[in-house]
Amino acid sequence: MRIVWFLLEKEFRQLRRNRTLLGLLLVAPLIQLVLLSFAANYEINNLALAVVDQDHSPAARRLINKFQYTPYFRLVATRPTAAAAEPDLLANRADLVLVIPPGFERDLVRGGAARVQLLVNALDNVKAGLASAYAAGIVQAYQAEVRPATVAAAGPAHAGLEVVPAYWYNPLLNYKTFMVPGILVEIISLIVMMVATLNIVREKEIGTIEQLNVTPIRKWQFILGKLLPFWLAGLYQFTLGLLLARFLFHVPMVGSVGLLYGIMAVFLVVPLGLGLLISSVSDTQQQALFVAFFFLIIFILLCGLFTPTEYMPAWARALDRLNPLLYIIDIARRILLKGSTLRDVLHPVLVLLGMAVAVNTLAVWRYRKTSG
Amino acid sequence: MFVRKEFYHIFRDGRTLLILFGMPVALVSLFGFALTNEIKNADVAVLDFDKGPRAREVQNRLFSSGYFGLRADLHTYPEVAAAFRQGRVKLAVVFPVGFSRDLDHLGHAQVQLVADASDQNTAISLTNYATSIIRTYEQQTVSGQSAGTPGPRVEAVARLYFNPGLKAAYTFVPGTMALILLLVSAMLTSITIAREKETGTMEVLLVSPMRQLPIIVGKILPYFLLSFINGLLILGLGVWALHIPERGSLALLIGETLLYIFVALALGVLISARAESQQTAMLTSMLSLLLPTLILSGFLFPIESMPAPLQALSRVIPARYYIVILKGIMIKGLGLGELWRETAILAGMGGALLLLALGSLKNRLA
Repeated sequence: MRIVWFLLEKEFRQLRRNRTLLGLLLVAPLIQLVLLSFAANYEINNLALAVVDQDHSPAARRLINKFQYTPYFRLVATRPTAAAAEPDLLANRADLVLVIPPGFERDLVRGGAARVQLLVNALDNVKAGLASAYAAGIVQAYQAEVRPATVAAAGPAHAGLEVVPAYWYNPLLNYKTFMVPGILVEIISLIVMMVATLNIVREKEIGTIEQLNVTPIRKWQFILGKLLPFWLAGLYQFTLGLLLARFLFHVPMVGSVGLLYGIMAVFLVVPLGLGLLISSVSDTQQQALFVAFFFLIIFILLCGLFTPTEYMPAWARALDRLNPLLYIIDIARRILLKGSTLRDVLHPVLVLLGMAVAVNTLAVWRYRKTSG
Repeated sequence: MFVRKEFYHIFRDGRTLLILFGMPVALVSLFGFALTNEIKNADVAVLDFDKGPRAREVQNRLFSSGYFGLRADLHTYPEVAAAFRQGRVKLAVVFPVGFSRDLDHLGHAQVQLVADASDQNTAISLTNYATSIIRTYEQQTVSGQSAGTPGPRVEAVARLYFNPGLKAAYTFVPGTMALILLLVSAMLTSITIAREKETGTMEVLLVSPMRQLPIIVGKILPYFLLSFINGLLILGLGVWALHIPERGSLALLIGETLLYIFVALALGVLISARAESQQTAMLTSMLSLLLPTLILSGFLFPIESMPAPLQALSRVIPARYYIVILKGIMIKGLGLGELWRETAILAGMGGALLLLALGSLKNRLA
């Protein structure tokens, strides 16, 4: 064990001399966490609304006001005809065009049905879906307001079927609650894996690995000495990240943080092991970089943070079963937001353990002491 | 002659070559086919306290839509909590006691959608879809039967422009293209200069009587070619395999792609010029480009919803402009006349980055 201690000392000394690396390990993750968590949300506000009012009646005005005075839409243009508004859609100046045909108020007052048209810029399907949903909601609210004034007999105030949504664990639908744990874990995995793999390959390239190979240092000691500093760095990042999550982003922490910590400590072995594995099959840093990047970007985009994984095609879901980020983000969210206990998350934890063992065994086996 | 040297360097490394061409193709294919935000057969539970005919009708509507699948028939709210905790369902539809009766006799009733909002995206999507299905049910059955004068109705008819099928691929494919092209190009070049600096051969080149610009251009050219081929591959993939339309000018598309690649390469050179070692160069390029581009470029998250300082930050992300250009040309069929602003910004970025890189190089070795 003393040998491992010496190796660690060497690593730390090297690290201290390398300022950029230190910055990347200690500071950059937190800056990224803060910046990205504020940006990453699917909430829609400030959608650009163009209005075509061909009726010019008070009823039409009221409807337009309803749209304007929500945070979802801001009025950017008024056009005389729908055709005149189409260039706005083309140029991305407007996300939605509200077209009120002539005779709108007349149709409304006569008790029939009045119709408005919504021209939706569907280029971004999520935005389009939400924009239409908000618009439909506003129109429905307008309809409810209009009724009492024009219906002589007092009909039921909320006629029909009312849908009441209830959002558990995140009632205000605060996106940060959802994104922060995920982004934190991603940043950590990214850095830990990249640095670990590049570090080892670097020694391979430069040749210092040969020097170590002729010493009595055993394989496992060498590997431990290489990975331990980055494991510690990962835990350090996680600690600070959790503090930021709690005090800056007010992420609720309903479950046991200690449990999450323990699981995180185990999880970190997986990206480290992957880095080790990649380094063992790469001859140059360039190769290692691209291979690691390949895996990382797949893990990140398919981890469920940006798009729901349940609706991916079956083959993609099967592939995703091998994605460690998928499991750890799910675990983190379950523990922090829902208060899950070890028994509730047992399945993903076991999967992670299995991955950690498999990856590292493979890496160590491949890692021959005789370089090559 | 530098070009040839660089080419040798690249082609000797067979594995990197495989990765260089195979990876972007694999990634774009994967994400083009796999990434989606459309809902199918979602895990839903039902908490039916009513068990009347209306409740059953609503459930039939929901579960025959293709969007939802009934996974559990629960009896209490704590059971719902347990199901959420175990991740078995993401939404529970609750019918209160007397639901059917109230709907028939009073003309109004409530149905509750309890969503697991720890997975926010899904929660909102599920709720929206369910609400619209229920609203359609209401319009078709209840309103026609409600007692008293129906009162005026305002109907909103939506017409979807550019992407009437609301296909997710229209968002994901251009975004993935921009991301991969940027990262591969920048990472490639970020290594070259750093490598020469490390092995010391850079100094040798620079003390020669040649000026710096041709040297750098010579080093970048092969990567330019490589990235361009990559870009073509990705574009081809997008159009033929992933069915993104190509409504605009192909020449313009290729031209803009070349411009974007130039910006990415210039970025790589800048990083390379300022980095002390290959390792630093690689780490900096990957870490400072991957997540920020993913999140701030407008690829996944709408820029208008970001806080003002981050919207400002988003302006320096080249991918943001390229995505607008890509979608504009391919999906809307726009031309340079409409896209000149974004094009000018990209050109400006490329030039500025290159100047900065040259400046750094001069300082470093002075």
